[in-house]
Amino acid sequence: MTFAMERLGVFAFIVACIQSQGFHASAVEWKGSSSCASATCHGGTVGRGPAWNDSYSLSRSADPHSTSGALLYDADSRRIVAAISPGATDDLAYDIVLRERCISCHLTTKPEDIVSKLKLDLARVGEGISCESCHGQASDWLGPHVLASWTGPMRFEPHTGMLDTESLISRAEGCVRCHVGSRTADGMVRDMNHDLIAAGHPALRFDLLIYSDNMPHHWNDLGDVEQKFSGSAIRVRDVGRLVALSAAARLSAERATASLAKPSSGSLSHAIVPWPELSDFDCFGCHQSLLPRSYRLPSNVDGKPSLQISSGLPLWNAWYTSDMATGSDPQMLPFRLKPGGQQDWIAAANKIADLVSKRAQDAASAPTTDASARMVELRTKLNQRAPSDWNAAAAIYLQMEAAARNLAAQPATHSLGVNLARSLETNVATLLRFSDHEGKDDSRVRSPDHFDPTVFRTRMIEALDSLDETPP
Amino acid sequence: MLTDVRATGKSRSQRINIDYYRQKTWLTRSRGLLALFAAALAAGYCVYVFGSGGPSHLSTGPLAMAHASFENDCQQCHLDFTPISADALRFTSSRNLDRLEETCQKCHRVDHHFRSSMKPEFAVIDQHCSGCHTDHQGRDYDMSNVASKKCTQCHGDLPATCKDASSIEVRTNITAFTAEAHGDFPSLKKGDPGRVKFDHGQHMMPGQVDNGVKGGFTIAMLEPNLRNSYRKSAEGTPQGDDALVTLSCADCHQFAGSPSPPSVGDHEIGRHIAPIAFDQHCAACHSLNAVGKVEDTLPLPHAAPWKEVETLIASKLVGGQQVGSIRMPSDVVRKTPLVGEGYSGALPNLSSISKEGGEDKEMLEASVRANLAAVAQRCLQCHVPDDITDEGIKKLRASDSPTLIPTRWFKRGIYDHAAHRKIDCAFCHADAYPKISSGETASVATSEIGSTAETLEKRDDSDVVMIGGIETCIGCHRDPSSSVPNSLTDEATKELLGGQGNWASDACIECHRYHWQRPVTPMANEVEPQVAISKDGLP
Repeated sequence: MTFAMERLGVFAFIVACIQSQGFHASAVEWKGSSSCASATCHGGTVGRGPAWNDSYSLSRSADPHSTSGALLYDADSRRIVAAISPGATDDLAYDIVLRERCISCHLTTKPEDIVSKLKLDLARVGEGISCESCHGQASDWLGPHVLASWTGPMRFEPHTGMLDTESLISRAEGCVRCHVGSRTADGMVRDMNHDLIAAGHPALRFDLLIYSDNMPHHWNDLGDVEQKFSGSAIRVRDVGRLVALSAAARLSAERATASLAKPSSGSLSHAIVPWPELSDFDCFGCHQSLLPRSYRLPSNVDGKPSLQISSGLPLWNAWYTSDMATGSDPQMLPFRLKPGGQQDWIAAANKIADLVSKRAQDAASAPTTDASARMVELRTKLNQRAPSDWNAAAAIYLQMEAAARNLAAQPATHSLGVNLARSLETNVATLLRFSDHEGKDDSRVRSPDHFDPTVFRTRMIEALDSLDETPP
Repeated sequence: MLTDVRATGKSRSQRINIDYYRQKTWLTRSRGLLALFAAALAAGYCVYVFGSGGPSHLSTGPLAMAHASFENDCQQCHLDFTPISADALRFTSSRNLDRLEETCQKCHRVDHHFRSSMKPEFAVIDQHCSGCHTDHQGRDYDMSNVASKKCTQCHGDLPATCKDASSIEVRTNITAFTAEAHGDFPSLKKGDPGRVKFDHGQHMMPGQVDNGVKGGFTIAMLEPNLRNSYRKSAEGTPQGDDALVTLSCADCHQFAGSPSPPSVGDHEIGRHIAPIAFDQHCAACHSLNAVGKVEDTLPLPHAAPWKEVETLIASKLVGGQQVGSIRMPSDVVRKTPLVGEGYSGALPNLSSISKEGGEDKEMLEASVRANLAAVAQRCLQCHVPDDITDEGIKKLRASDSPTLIPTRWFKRGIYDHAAHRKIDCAFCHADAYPKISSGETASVATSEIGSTAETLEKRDDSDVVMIGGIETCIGCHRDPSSSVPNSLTDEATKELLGGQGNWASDACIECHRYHWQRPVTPMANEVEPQVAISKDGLP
């Protein structure tokens, strides 16, 4: 292996990276995940001891967060950078683009790292999103968090620096800082906007339940905290959706605010921010075939939602809003583009963010939603009409899938839940998959161009009907 | 004085009996008898000498067991008609001392004791082997059991002994083994070199966590092949896998002799402690199984050159990815599919904008570097930065490199752990035990979080010499006529003493050796020893 470190001397590199990880003055002082890595703390061998003992090891070996930094040097990332900044042809320029556009989400970092014009420290890049991104800056809690007396809500008081990963709301809020975005949280811009999507970055469609599933669980699934968290998949999905929508609304307001700021030199956060920001809206409202045979809108006989493509305006944050529950809520929708009307937009978006945040709190503390009731509700709406588009169908699917999980979690309805989940995955989920363009064209946006809402409705109803035939 | 002017010369001469010599005294009358008696006595003595008890009068006694083979070969040590006794030192010629020293050195390869620093009258004492090691005291006589007065004749007043009193670096007036007359051990006052960061108190707690601290290391968390080594037994039943690992001193500190080359008197097992070795004493808990520590990844070697570590990390990453234990950046494998993207969200590979053949290498390099940095941080948990450089590692791994932790702390005395094995380690090493007593728990108020964090993070006793001073010795090692001190009479102390008696000799030779080093000149067929000799002659 002919790494550049051969020229530099490995130890010099190590010393440099250690120094860079916590010894220069800054308002943000990361302790670094190595401080967690002792074998007697969180660096134990996976599977040998309790979950807390191998949480670091498990994260390092299998968590996509730990590779999110290195991913910045893969072919996709290089293509994205080349598209958004064609002049970034040398390594330094490439790293500067990464600093301005990417590392706020892809690395555990701090504001001054964003504006630096130096090459990135590969050791930190390799660490990716480390422990403190989700658990909080550890300077003040690293010592006391080992004490038996370190329990209860006091752990998450602001002065401790430890972030609350135990409550449903706060866990979701931790995720959406990156998985939805923010232009202000932690003093950094995390804005995965239309430019980046156009350049090739996948659009963000956060779902707390799926994302939690796909993380290697470096926690005790059988503990009280997780039992409470996963007690109802319906609640997790509803709350996650509301928290994400609140964050999206806040981001939308922040984008509007930033668009009014005078451009200045310096970091990207002060550069010109486009308005309207297209990533606030449903991708497929615009990115769809305009051929008559492909132009599949629900017919008017099925009823016309309050806002949809046919009106000429794309849905606002369709991934979070396009479901039957929120689609008919006059307080939530509609948002209509008003060119030049950022101030109104800011006020409205913030109002929505506050409103949805309150709803998320209520949903989190509400009694467990009955799965059967949710299924009946969804079936009733499906009987009335097909979903308006892919996003609405996805929302229905996710709610039904959560209901199946709730059923499967109860011994009395376990087989029903398993069968429903299997039926959904086999017969319905495939309808929602994006087309695979690999090797066929040069489209960088994967879309459900084949999606047919009426087929979806039929399959969904069939899946529900099959439950009636399932022996108890 | 008045003179009689009328006395004549004749009258004056007549006052003296001129034939006084003809008169017999009691001595002249009995001289024959005395001669006869003397002859009889001599004859009797000859009869005695050559009879039953004779040999003891021809020599001062049988040679010691080790010298018994020289019993009939006096000239091995003696020159004709030349005294060798210590009492006759002033009559002993230098030729005689040279011969004696040479004779002893044929077997006992020891060197002088600061002889060049002594005044001449003391230098000859140093050269005179039999001055301290007197033979002819019987077969069972221990010639090495040198009386303390032999030492204090000089050490009671060293300035009078040495040519240059200002060069003396030790206490100059040691007359007995008491706190006042001997003083505390200077070796312990020089501090700990402190090159390995460690917290004895934490490691001595069950599970290696303090009271009031979460967690605790269990047997199950150890490397499987080493678990049995750490299981303790309670009433004959070995600990189960869920039991907390409870370390004893002997888990890490084993008795040993002198590592090499041995100095006189310290090669016996127990007079050194075997060096701490990572693979033997640390790896069960702290294996360097970095890079996603899962069961099927091999630990990194300890103290390997960084280039080797780098190569191993890279191969662990690539190999781990192949067997599915390590996730690399491009691996998009989902347990639960995304609604649109499905199980794999990889974007179509549409064009080759990326650097030709470079992206994988750079991704791997980032992962390697992150893991290297993590390993380095792990190293620094115990080691100082200078010791984990390639140069530092090479230096430490050299065969002649001293251990980072001294294997023997007393530079002038010898402590024999084996001889004291019945005594609980805590009697002398109380500082190595947890400071938090049983039942007491650590806690923190929210207002103290910052300072507590600082305190808990920096726990390290590497600069603390955890050996008791002279006060731990003089309770037992005291004058035989003295009474048992109160400090040894309470039940707790008795328990620490493990039933051992509470008196032991206070002789200098219990701890000190007069001859420290091997001769500088190698013996025949012997490679010159590679021991470093300090200017004061101590190894």
